[in-house]
Amino acid sequence: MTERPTDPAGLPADSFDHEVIEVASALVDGVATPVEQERFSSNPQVSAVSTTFGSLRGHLAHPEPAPAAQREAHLAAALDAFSALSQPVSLDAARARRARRLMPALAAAAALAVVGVVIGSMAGRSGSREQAAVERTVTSDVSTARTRPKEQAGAPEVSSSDLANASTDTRPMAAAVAASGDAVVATDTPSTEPTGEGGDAVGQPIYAASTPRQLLGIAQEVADRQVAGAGARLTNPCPNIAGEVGAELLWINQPALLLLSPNAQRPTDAVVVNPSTCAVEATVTLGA
Amino acid sequence: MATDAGAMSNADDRALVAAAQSGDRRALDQLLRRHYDRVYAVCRRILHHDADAADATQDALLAAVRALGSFDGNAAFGTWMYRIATNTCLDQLRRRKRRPTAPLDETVMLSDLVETRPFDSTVVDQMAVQAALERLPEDFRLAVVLRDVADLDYDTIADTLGVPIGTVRSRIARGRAILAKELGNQIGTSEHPTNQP
Repeated sequence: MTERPTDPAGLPADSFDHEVIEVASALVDGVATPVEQERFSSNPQVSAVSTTFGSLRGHLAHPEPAPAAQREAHLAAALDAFSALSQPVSLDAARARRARRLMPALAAAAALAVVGVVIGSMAGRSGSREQAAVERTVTSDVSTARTRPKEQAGAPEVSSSDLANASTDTRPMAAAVAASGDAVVATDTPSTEPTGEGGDAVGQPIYAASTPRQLLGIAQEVADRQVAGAGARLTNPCPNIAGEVGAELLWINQPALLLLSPNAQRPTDAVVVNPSTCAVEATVTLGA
Repeated sequence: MATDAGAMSNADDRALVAAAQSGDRRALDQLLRRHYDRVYAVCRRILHHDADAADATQDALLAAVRALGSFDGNAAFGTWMYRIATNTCLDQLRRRKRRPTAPLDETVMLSDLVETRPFDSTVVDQMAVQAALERLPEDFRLAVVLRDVADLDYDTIADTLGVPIGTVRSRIARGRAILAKELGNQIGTSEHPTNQP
């Protein structure tokens, strides 16, 4: 085994080299211990290595400047981020952000609702071309009926025969033609379910309709109950309109009364009147 | 070892930091502009890839802007900023695949260094330094870059790298020795003029 070279202190050469290198590096950085400084301050090798390391450090400490375009772009982005962070958060802005976040969910819900209505209407649709042709002649929408002045529009009239045709096509926004030539919209599914308990409850509307078909269903049900003697017996507040009150209801979201025409056997007509003004809002032909 | 210029710069930094923390955009611009080149240099030396370094620099700036409110001034702004940059670069190093490089010979004898002439910026160009750094083993490269490029002290480097301070001291010395040997050899074999007769 070959004897390894040693330094004057008796350390193996590679250990001595390593120590000298580390102390020289520490001297450059000003972190050499007092003992190290005393021991190696007069060592020419340490001085030489320190000088080399000092030059290297000086060289590394002066980096090349970054590309100007890159610098400006990065600084601009950082300042934009700073501005965004510095802006006070306003309630309106927070609401707008929340609305933006909710928008996809609302859109999805609306899309689902439309799909559901379409599927429902397709399920109830017959293939009759004639019926479809009848329905295509009617194009108004319910908002037209709602916003039209009563004096000009007159009251929409609904007959069971009109609705018999219309009912075969349950496409959304399909309509039945009123006698006046104006149209009101019939939706696909009649909603004649009472909205409250007890069909004869007095004092609060228990039916709700916004389409002629719904109204027809309500009128037929009320008339049947009337014939059976189970209907409500309310006082007709409108002396100008013959008939007895069959039910209170909400007609296109407005309180109304359904008046059944007096008939000894069975009502053949019904009207919807505004209880405050006694204006006729709609007429319904129930048929024989 | 703080120089007068460094002390003045730190004092200026403190004023700019205070203004920026109060919302002064121009102060922040000045502050970041002052340190940008060194942040980029730290990233370039650590990542030895220009595009990665640019990305890391951008991330570091944004991180610094977001954290500016929590900067308490206990350290110099530059130290704080370079440490953010270093951490950003270390994250990127961990994420990316290692690029294969031919490592430098880690065996350095004292004679290798004693016989090496002192460096001269006219004969050792940046490309040679960058190339040598790229081939330096990562542990040594990080220590040397944090000390000599970012100018972080040993304690901060130890904290940043998560190693004892003695290890930092050793890695810096070994890294410098390997680099000096490599660059000294290049000088000795290059066609650059030297001061030797």
